[in-house]
Amino acid sequence: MANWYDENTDIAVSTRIRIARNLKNVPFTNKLNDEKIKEISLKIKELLKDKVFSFGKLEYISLNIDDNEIESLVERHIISPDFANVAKKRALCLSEDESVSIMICEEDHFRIQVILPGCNLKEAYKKAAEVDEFLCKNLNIAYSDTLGFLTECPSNLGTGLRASVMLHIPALENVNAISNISDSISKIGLTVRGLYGEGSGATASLYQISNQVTLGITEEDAINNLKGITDQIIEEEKKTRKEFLPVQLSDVVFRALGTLENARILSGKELMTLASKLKLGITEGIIKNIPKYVSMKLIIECSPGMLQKKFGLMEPNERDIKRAEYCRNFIKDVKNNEI
Amino acid sequence: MLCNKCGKNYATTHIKTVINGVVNEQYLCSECAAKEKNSSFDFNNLISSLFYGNPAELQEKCCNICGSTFNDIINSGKAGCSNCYDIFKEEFEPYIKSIHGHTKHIPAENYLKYVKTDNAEETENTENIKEQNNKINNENKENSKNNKIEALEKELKQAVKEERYEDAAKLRDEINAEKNSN
Ligand SMILES: [Zn+2]
Ligand SMILES: [Zn+2]
Repeated sequence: MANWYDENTDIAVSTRIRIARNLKNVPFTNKLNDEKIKEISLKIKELLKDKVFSFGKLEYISLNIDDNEIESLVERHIISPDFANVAKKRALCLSEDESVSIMICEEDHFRIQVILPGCNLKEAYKKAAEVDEFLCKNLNIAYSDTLGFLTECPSNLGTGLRASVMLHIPALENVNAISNISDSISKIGLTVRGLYGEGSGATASLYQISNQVTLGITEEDAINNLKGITDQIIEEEKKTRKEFLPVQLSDVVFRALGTLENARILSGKELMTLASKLKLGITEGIIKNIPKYVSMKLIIECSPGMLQKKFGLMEPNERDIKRAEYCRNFIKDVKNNEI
Repeated sequence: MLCNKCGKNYATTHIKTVINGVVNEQYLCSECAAKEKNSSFDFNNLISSLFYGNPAELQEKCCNICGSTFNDIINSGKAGCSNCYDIFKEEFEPYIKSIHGHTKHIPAENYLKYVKTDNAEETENTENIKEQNNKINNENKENSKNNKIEALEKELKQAVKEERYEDAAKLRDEINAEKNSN
């Protein structure tokens, strides 16, 4: 059972498809009380009980669980931070490999989400559409001829489809090209945003490219546009990487590896920066004895919720020590081929 | 108590109306009550006042399902329910255009197979009304027969479109039976 961050990836790290759907003439989530939310959740539970999709079943999970568990769901990109804030009164349907899910009563009544490693838009959309078709056939989903699928926020009207690809683009970031990219792709209805705290200097060079416009464009066109632009950005990143001076680049990535293998205290921010440099080194073939999946796995598994899920509740300074220890051991095990 | 309207006779009836959540209570004499009832049978007026309020109340127009006003929606950036998009169609248009640059959805082929569109629902509704009319209107038998066949044929088309072939076969038999009946 592998998660998206267990797979070997290069510049394109992951693909996400999200489809927003709502019940017809039932007030949107912002107008619902807990009781009604529970009613909708249980309806979906019943509906999905015996349904087997091509990828397996969607298991109903009540999120009245540990804060850590909820945080770790956010860190694995399974639920949104907004949903985490209200999660105790919500439920989630999740496939066994955690690649397909439905958030019930997030902003919209249903948010179908598929997350896959690499740039895999068609495959991800296929899975999401399968769930969507099932919901549309079995529920009275709000749809209008003029506006398409009706959503709580007008920005999702039409297809209700948000497709995104997460890219690791340290070279473009290094030459300050992100805002240029942002300006030019916004003209064709796409957007780019830093995945982690933009402007905080701890972005891990991970950026998400996604479609902004959902009305007046078919699902297929939206996905093809995104794919086309993503491919171009990847090419641009590759070209820009060639401009790094070889020795300097080696120095940067080996220093990062050295720290990850030896540090005794690692903050979350520092780990992300180092893991990002490690990823660059591995993708460019500078670091040869560590598999490609390691950097993303470290970034995800060393986030606070995931660490505490493994090792129990800790104070932040304890956690930094634990993070460094986990990191050292993980890389050692990988090098010894034990993972 | 004297009649609220004429102030001459003693009130004999209590008429309570609720329009857009505003409760209006009147105590009327039987004469005034009769006049009031007659005027309220102006259906167009009744329906438009239910949905739009009178001109003075227009700004307070609210969704009949979730109760949102357009102001609520603008302030929160969120619609209250799917019906809001219908109620505030004109108000929404410029906002939607500014977000998406378009105001018309382009449906993908596959969705048309399993999504209930506005049109499908309209036919459903008109068919219901038709059916009711048929029951009441015994004098117009020929008309009702044609209407029934028409309705059945529409249902048949829908059934074929949705690949419900068993239903389609049944409907076809019903249509033939109807056509042959005198
Ligand atoms: Zn009177
Ligand atoms: Zn509404």
